Amino acid sequence: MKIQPRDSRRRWALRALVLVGSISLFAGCGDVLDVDNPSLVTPGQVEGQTTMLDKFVAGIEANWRIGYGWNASSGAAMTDETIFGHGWTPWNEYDRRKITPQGITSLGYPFITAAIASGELYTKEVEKLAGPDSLKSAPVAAAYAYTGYSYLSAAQLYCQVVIDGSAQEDAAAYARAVELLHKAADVASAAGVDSIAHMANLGIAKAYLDLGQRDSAIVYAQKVPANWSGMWVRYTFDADFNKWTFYNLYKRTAGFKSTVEFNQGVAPQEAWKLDTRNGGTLPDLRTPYQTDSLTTLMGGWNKPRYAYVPYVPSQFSSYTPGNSNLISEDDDIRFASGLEAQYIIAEASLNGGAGGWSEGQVRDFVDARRRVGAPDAGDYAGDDLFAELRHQKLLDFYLAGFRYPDLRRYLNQYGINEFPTGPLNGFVGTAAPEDYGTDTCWPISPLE
Amino acid sequence: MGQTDWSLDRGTSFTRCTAERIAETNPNTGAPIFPGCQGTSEGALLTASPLSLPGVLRSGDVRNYALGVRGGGDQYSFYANVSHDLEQGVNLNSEFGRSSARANFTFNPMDQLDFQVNFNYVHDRTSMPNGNNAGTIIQNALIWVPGAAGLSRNQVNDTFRDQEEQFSAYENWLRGDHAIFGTTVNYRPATWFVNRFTVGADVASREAQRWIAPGSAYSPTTGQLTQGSPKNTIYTVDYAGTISNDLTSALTSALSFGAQYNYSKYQNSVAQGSDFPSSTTKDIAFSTFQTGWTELSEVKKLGFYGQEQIGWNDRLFLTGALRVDNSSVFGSDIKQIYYPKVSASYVISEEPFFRNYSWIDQLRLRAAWGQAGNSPGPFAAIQTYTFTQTTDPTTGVKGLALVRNTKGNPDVKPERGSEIEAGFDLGLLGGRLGGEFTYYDKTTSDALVSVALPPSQGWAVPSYLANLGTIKNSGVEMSLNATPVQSRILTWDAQVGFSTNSNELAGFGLPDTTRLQQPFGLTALVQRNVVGYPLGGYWVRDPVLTDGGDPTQPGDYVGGPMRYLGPSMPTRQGSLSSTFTILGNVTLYALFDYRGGNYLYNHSRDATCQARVCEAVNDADVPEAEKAKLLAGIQTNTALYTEKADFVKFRNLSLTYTLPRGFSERFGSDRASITLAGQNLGFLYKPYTGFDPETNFIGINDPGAQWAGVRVDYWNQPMLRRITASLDVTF
Repeated sequence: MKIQPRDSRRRWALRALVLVGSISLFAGCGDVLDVDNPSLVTPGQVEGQTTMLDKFVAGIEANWRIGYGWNASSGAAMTDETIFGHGWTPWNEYDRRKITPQGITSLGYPFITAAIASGELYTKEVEKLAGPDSLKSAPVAAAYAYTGYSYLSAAQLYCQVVIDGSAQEDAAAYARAVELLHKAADVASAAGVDSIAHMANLGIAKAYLDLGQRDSAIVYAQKVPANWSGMWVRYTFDADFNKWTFYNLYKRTAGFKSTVEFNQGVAPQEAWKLDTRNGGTLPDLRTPYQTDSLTTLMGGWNKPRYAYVPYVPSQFSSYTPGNSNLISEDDDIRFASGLEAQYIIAEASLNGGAGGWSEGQVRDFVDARRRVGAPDAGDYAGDDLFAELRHQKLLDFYLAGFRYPDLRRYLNQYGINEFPTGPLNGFVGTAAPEDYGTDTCWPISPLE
Repeated sequence: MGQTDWSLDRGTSFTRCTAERIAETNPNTGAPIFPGCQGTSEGALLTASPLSLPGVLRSGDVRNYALGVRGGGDQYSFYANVSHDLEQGVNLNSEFGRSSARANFTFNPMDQLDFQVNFNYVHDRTSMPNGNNAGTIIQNALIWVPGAAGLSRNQVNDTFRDQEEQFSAYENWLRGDHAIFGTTVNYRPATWFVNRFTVGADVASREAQRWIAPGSAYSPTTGQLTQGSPKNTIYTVDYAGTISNDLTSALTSALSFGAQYNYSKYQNSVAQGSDFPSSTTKDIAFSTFQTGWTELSEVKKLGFYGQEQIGWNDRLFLTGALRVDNSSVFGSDIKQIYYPKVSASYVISEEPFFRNYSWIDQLRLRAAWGQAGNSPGPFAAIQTYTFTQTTDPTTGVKGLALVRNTKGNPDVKPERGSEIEAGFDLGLLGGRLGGEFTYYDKTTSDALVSVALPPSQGWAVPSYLANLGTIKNSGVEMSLNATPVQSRILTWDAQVGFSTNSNELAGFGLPDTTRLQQPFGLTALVQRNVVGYPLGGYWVRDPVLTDGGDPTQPGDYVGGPMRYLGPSMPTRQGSLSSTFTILGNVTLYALFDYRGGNYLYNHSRDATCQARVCEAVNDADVPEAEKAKLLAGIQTNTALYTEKADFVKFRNLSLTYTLPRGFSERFGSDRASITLAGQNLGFLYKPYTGFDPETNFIGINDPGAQWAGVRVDYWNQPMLRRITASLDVTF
């Protein structure tokens, strides 16, 4: 029926109908906005699911692992292990020992802190999922162990650690690490997982050594078999190269042989520390490097800067003694081992720790380590012996993420400063543009 | 034919053969660092312009063919068109090709009813050059070190050599099929009741591939192949109706109402292989590391609106409207959002007292206030986990790890923009002179800002979206058009346009402004979001000499305090165009564009100076202290490299000749014309030292981009200069 134009009442009735219809339609249309997004993983899909048990544990380890890769590279730049050619913040800050809170935010820090956050959250979930077996559950032990190592790493690297939302001194992080690692050791022993138990006891020993509690350090280091081959930080490919386990070390050492990558190498001024063979003229078998070429590092300074290319060192999975191979992107790094436990016993013993080794036993250990890298032995005692012990540890754990925490401990516990000082290394034939800074720890993010 | 404005004549990189450079040798090999300086006198200037070398850039072809047909009868009409475009970029591996077909059909079986059906299909193929920040052609060209050894300080020259080989080592293409279908029904059961109903479908299906050959200069140097098949689907349903009433002989009322439903879906499957044995084994199955993932998102939106317009004597119109929106992207706590609007329009020239001003054709005054929304992204409200690949530390077996991904915000909702605008439209002298003027003032409240999360909370995405910010934009827009000359021999039409914009982040909403995410990445050194200043404004440092420092030594400068320099987006824009029609069949058109009031961070110059190849640090006339400041370090002297970006560009020039009708008809055509046109012909004014201040490394108009506000000349290619000749024939 055609509505008559002059039928005013019908027009108003139609208006009213539109109004009521619109309100009704809108009120009744809630369901039409429901969407399906299967690629999203919501808490309801994973929490409380027993099939997720291993995934939660792996989540803690993955964050810590990625952070370890970043920090092994940045830590090497911070110390006498390498110099680091890059002109941009934040990378060059480590090289110069002038680290700003802003610089920290984008590198390894987010991963280590994420490992702590997810560790605290996930361990509760893992305990719940393991149910009555949680006190003898391998996944529960691993969750405790990697959360404990996350706290330990944070304490070893940063000036402060954020715990429960507030910045606290390192001692609080060490304490939390020790607490978790004790749980890890107990549960792992009950579960019969020796590798986690050894890793946990070694972590406890490391924490006590850093804290100066050397008697305790010896006790827990002795629980780790001297011949324990250790635990690895494994290479994992990721489409996001920032999450490659050793993106930094691979790219910046091997990568700098190409023309477009960053670079990180042995400073000419520090290379003598790696030369132990043939009267100090050839590299130690554990720390080979390309001695026949000084390569210019990529930009960042207004004059050439030179470094030697490091080859695969001894804690890397593709290592062979005295090799001449570039570090490959799929190398794994050993982060815990019986050898490290031996070093802890030796260091603690030399510095007053009870229950460990005599000076002669330490000398025998040092000599044994020297023979691994070079055919000669030494005859050290007192301070010289401790100096050689530190030198051997540099060689045994070169580029593997140990040197920076070690230098912090040498300074804090014994007043020995082996951080690079004076003019920046790497400048040959010309004056360095500036001196090293004095930073000995990394600040936490200003966003905390 | 295309050509870019690279300004290559003077050279793009420079080396002054100082005594130090002549003497500089590799400490290990003893070879000179600058063999090109050997045998030259001290002070000799070497220049290079690698982009002008054969095989590096090209003048690409641009071709377009189109054929259209139009027809109809009493109750129907149709139009169909097919076209083919081919455009070559200046890089050897950049090309864009497109074939399209379009058809419109209109059918009106009765006076009250008509149907319109539209169909558009496009097939395109795009090949893109390397856009990575390492190894690009422009970068390698600009930091070429004249006179340096093959493996120079920056190891660049070797990369640039064999450029054709590098081009072939990189392949990045996108093939797309895009179909749009829409139909509209207009139904007018009475003169006072009109209805329009529209449904549409938009389906874009693409294939994408990026190949980096192993051993190339591009990263990853071990080779990588990525293949994806992104698909976007959009369905829309739209109804609009209007009921008109005459309230009195002078007053009219029109009620408009409507509803829109929009469904959009994005899905993609990506496969990637890395580490290839050779450049000829281009199959993901032959790579060492393989990974794949899928992406899928759905968004649904539903909106209703109602509007009442009261008219008085067909000259004064008052309008009030209310819109209600809901969407699947709103937080779970948000049910619907309301947007009101009011406006007034007054054609004052219709008033009797205006009849004395017969030279005024029309004067309309207008003012409006309204609100509109801008929705967040599809997953902004949702807390999520994600899986990442991992390797069991004990067994070495690969597996998955669960990682906390996004915090989400259940309260997130659209930002709300409130805008007041007022102005007038003016027509004079029988259409010979006219203009418009508008003042606008827009305040966006509940602006979506990215809030940085404490890293210790452990989210992989370290921020979340929240409705916290307040953003203000205000300015004027004006245009003037005139026909100064109008005769049988010559007609001259001229247009002038000018607009201003003042942008400010007026508030953040949290007392701790460090939580305001600075999403600038590449330009984090110089761009900031700071309350009270323009969004993404430039904040720079001046080099300051240390106490007792030597002013000629770069290392003796430190960065001064960060200071605000200016906005990164233009605050003024203008255009001037003229069309001259001579004897009715020759048309000459010219357009000049102006933009200004803003700055641009010239990273290219910064990096070339740091590499000691920019002109200033090799110029004997530049004082050593000035050179030292330029070389002082990338974080200490950004004030020297953030430059005024004002420009006046000769944007378009075209000449069209319409052939005499008699001549055209000899070939059976109704009309034929020949056009010669040029685009981006050059700068009339440009204080900026780089190629083109109009370009940006990252598309700034994509709000979904990670670095949407970034403004930087990061080895940018200038806007292409394009010269075209075309023939247009109508039968």
